[in-house]
Amino acid sequence: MTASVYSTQLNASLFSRWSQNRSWKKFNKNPVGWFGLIIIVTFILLAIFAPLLANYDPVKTNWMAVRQAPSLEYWLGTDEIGRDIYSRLLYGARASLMAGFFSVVIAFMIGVPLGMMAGYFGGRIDTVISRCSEAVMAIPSLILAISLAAALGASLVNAMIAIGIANVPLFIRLTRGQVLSTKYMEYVEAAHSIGVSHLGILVKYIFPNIVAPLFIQVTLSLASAIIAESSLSFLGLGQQAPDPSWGSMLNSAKGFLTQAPWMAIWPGLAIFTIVLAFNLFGDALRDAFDPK
Amino acid sequence: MLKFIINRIYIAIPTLFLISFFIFGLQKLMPGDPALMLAGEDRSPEAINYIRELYHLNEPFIVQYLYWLGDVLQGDFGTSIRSDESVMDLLLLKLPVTIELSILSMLFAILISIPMSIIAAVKKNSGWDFSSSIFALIGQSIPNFWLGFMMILLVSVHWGILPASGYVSPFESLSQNIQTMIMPAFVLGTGLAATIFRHSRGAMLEVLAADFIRTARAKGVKRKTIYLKHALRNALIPVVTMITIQFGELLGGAVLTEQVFTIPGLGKLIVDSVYNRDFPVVQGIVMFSALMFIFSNIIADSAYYLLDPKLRHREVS
Repeated sequence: MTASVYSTQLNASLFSRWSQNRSWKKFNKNPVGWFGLIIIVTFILLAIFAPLLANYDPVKTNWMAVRQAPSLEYWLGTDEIGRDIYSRLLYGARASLMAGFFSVVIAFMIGVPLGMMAGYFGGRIDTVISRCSEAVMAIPSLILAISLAAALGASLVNAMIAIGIANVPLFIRLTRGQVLSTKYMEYVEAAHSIGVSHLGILVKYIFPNIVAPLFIQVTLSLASAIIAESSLSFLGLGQQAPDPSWGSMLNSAKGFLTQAPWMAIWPGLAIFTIVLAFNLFGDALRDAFDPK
Repeated sequence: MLKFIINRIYIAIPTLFLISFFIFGLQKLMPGDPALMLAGEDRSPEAINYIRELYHLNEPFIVQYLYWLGDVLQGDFGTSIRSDESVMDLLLLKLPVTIELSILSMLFAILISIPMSIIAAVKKNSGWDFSSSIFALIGQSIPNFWLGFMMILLVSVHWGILPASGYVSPFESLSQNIQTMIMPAFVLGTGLAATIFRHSRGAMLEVLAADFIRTARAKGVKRKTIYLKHALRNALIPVVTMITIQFGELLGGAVLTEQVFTIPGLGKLIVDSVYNRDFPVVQGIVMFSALMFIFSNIIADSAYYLLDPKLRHREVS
């Protein structure tokens, strides 16, 4: 069998193999992983259908209903300028999930190619990439995200970029390690011997075989990215008023803790639940792919 | 040992230079003319030109960086735009508060997580193991600033037993200092306790399955001796290094905790400086936190070297 045929089969059968293999069976038997996945899907659906599910306009103020406690009219209460917390929570899910998703996409798109280059080519390329990655890693990620968000200006998009950049070294390190353990495999040597280009080897032969650990890291990074976005928005460096995000809702809640505790309870509970769900799902995936 | 530490410092030097370059570059990302920002209300051409000369803003980027680096190497991080104080003085003023918070939260995390992980590993798959794993998962998932709010609501507002915010220096009143620091230390330490628990439980389980533990059991060594003397000592090697590294990371968490409890430490200083666009202070804190991280890494490596006899013997041979 030539290396290219092998690789095509490898790519095509990646998902069919996943459904039949041991990892899938292990994951399928893990109710905790499924529980996490169901919560994640529920939150995504709530965010998508927010306009249909919301009772009120999330940014519309109502001075007649300031800091109302949860009731039949306002299910989760209202905030300091009379906005419905339930509606803001639904729309806030969009900002928080989107920020989590895009920041991980940024980290993945930059970190994985750099990690692959470092691991595959080695030598000076590896030294330069690894040293730069170590330098960024030496700065606590939230401090780095804060300083980047401060330099770029406070907005949700800049918060996503800042969190994404802060997460790049994590993907570089993981990918580099995975490539190092894959590049001497027989099928990669076979591809070399039939003259496949470096790019071809990296994309067609190595990448499909390091997808699993990367996917687990994506899941766990989503959890930390959602916390990071809510932290930046809480500090006023993410989503800007009047648009809601769970972090910015907590930011406005901090001045009314005693008068309107529901302003702080619900957004925090939402962050906690989705982060817990991603952690449960990520842990279950890690267990499923663990060869032990 | 000394040779080992010198070698680690030598390796850290290029990383520190890269970090300094990166931190200086951050300032250049900021929109607007820094000279105009520094001039404040006095925007006369003479004042702006003077500032450009003073801060070498007319020079190429790399020259500006070298000037800045030269000052940093002499311990001069510049002057705060807002308060006109030396950044280094501000750092030294706020640092003890953050260090105290970090040490207390680390102590709390260790005292909770290590005993929990020993019992969880010894009683694997038991009710205790299950419930402590749930605790770890919750600790890992809970945003610490929200936990802070909930603690304030419960402990300060509902029970009224601890102050909700503020800071009293231990030199002023030790009892009041402890009262103001209990909740922040708990909040900052919870996530850390979860991380230590997961590492420590994993390490204990691995050691408990090792041959030398089986041999000790076969020899009839007491259970307590096996767990505490043989297993824990070996399991703690990677955990100690992990804890040391985490100490450098605590500053990130301290930013939010200090903000929630209004504690005047480095974390609050960086947030206030970001609001005031006081970039020299932001740069100083970022550089300082990176230094702390690298320093704690060197300590972690040295601790590993001291604790692991295999590593020492390898070097001798």
